[in-house]
Amino acid sequence: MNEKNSADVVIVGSGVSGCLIGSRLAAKGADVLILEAGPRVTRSHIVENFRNSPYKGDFQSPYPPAPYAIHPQYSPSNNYPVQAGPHGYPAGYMRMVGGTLWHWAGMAWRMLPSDFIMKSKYGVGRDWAVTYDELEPYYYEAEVEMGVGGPEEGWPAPRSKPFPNPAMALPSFDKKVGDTIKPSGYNLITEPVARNTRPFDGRPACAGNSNCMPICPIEAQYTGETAVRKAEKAGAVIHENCVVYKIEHDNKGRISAVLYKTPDGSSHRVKGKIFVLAANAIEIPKLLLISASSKYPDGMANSSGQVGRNLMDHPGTSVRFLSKEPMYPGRGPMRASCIPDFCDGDFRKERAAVKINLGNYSSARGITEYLLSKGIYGEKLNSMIRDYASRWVIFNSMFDILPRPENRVTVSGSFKDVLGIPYPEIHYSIDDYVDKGAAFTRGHFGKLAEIFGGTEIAYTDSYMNNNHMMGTTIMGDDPKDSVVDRDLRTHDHPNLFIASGSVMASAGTVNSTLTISALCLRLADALLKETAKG
Amino acid sequence: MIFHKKRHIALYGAVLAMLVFVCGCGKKEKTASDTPEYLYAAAGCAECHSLTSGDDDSGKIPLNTEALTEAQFASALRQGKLPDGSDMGDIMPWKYYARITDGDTVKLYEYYMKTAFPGEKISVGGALPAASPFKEDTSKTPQYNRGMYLVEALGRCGACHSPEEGGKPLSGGVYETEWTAYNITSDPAAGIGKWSSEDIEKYLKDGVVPGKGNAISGMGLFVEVSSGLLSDSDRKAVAVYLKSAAPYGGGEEKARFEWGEPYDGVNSLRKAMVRLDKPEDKDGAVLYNGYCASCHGFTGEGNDSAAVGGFPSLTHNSTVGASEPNNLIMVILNGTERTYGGKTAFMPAFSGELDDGEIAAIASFVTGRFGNPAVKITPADVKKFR
Repeated sequence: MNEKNSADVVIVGSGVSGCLIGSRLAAKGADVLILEAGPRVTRSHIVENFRNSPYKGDFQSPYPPAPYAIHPQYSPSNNYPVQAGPHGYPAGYMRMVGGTLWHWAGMAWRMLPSDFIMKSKYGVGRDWAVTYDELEPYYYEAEVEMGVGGPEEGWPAPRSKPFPNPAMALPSFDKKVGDTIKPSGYNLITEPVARNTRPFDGRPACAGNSNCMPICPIEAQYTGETAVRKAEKAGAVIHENCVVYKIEHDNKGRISAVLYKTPDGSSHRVKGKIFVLAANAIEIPKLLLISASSKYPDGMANSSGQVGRNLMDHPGTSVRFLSKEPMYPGRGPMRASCIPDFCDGDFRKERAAVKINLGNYSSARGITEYLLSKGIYGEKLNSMIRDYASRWVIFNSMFDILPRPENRVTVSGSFKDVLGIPYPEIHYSIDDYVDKGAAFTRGHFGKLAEIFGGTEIAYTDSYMNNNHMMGTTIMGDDPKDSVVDRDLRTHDHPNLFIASGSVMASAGTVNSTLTISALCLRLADALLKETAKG
Repeated sequence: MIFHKKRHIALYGAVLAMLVFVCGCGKKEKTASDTPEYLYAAAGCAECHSLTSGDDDSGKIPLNTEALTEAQFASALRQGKLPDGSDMGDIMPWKYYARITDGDTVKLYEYYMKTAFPGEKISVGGALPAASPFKEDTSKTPQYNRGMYLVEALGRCGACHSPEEGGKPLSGGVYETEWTAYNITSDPAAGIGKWSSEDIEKYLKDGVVPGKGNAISGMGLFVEVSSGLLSDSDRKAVAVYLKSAAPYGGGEEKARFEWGEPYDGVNSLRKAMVRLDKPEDKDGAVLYNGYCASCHGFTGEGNDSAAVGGFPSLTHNSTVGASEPNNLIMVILNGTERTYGGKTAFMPAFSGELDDGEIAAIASFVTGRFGNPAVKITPADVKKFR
């Protein structure tokens, strides 16, 4: 069906990870084939789906999955992935050309140097097999690739060069909040964003549609489609609708081929010299585990038994209150600033670090539902919506969860998709370390509400997912307790690499995309050397 | 496109800074139009040429490769001839530049030498090739005559806006073969007779006149490197001349900018979500909403449309209301990027994202609602412009 059935470099997954690597390698003349499980999609259909969807708060909603490559749906739930508990892990990701980067908020953060040495510095979690300094040039390369604009001060991750673009102008809401909390000792800094602050790379500047999630309607954000376009322009070939379900190896343990199914159920084999898995921290361990063979009965790359383990996210809590004074949230980007004061420190020996985010959301819908639930109707409802919408303040948080082996992705024994491929199953719990961080944060939520003379204060203590899937093919120097080495090469298979948040050995408190991108660019560099060797 | 974007700002920042300085203080404005820098801007040289290295990606033709003598320079300007005797052809508007006075030609030469060959000896002397006769109309005001000089000589408007040899001056022409350079005679329907003098001045200054039009492509570039840098009094002179130039036209029902009504049907487009792996919509209204409305508005009325760098209204917009849809198709395919006064007007190119059928459907919806409904665009029309 597809003409190309072999390549020097075969990449599984066409999200930002696969595309960045494909793009860099193809630009240097490498023969690159990217296999994507889902379909090719177009922005306008997603935009119109969002406008047509009754579930505006569900960012998966405008992305109904193809039946042969399903991904999570929550309105209503499609039970994918299977939740084994005790805590839910309602992951949000997409299987389609361009991947999950279609619906991020463009937050382009560098992790802190401490995040890479949690074990040696604070005695908890793990150390990464690479250091911040080794990753720094690739962070910058990723920032240039995405046109990141950010503040030069306020975040203690050292930079060798300034941001390629100016920081975004803060919405008036964020400015007001910053000014209000400053006297009480809180800092509020502008988030670095891969959302154009001026026309850049053929993409427009943000026009303030204020629905970065679930879809930037004008590609002002660097999105999945940007990565795809650049990869294809560089010469990488992307085959959509190819659901990879098996990794084959030779008797020396080298990977020889991957097998995929097309929507009609037929099977196809793609041979290659180098294989890169770039299909996210849920689908990658699933694929490794279901590829078990007689030589590798526990699955590929899994001699350590760590495949699927150490699943992380940034669990989050929130507070919402009515400010005494009007603050006018909801104009401009949905997320623009945060409080960085509790992201690092000696306290990390005891409790989770936290980044507190200010949500610049248009909450008219939530407010309407809230007021209706209180029995308010008619003209009073209209005037109260207007009033509340100007004073509705939301802070939320992202906690640094530790990698724990019992938090894991396994393969469901009961559920299979239409192609006969098992569902992933999630086992997830949140420990004391995060709970202590959450208790600390709740105290600050209360203080913040007080500063604003807040009333009708509502805390959400149950942890939300932030869709930053990490850890499930964790990196490390020791093949006995990690899946990939410092070069993202699997310890067990010399020509199998993993490019995903799944290699991250700690979560930190910041959104993971830029770190993943930097890791991918570093891997691309290494693979260029590898392919040059022949 | 031959002329690429972006770099002019850096290249001509010095020119701009100087002009802002000189034009900014009222009294000195009189002398401003005499400076070599000013003439260089008025002649729009930077539309095609770079006076410095030319090693950027602007696609501009560098002029610093060989220092011409004054006579050679004048020959290039007035006869379109290079020192080796070869012809530059009509791409160089020498027929217009031949009308530039001797005094201004010499100043342009000085500027060329000073900027492209700083420190080199200026080689003057010898007879210049003759200028074309350019007679002032003594029955008209000095302002009119200044406008005529700017339009017919320095600014060479007719190089794009006049038809091929023998046609009616300024009654419409082409730019880079694909773009229509509109009729700018005083005809009220076919030309710009219904534009006020202030409209024309504002258009030349910052490329945006709400309710009339936005300068894109070649005109956008011209505003960026030439008319936007002129003095207010010179732009006024151009407007006065254009307003009183002979009207030519016919066959147009309304002026280009007079067409269009806001679209009020967006709610009727709301329906069930589509499967992303099997989308079937090729409806122009739906595609418009998906691709265009986030900037140009659900109603087509734009967003901050009066501002430089804002998103233009598509109603009452010359590009949309023209009876030739060339420019509409071209801007959808290729986008536009122009900087006026430090603000960038940008539209992305859709040639990679949309196929001919989709662009035809969008463009036909746009002309049908926001422009002249008689103008329909077929996929074959779009294909011609790729």
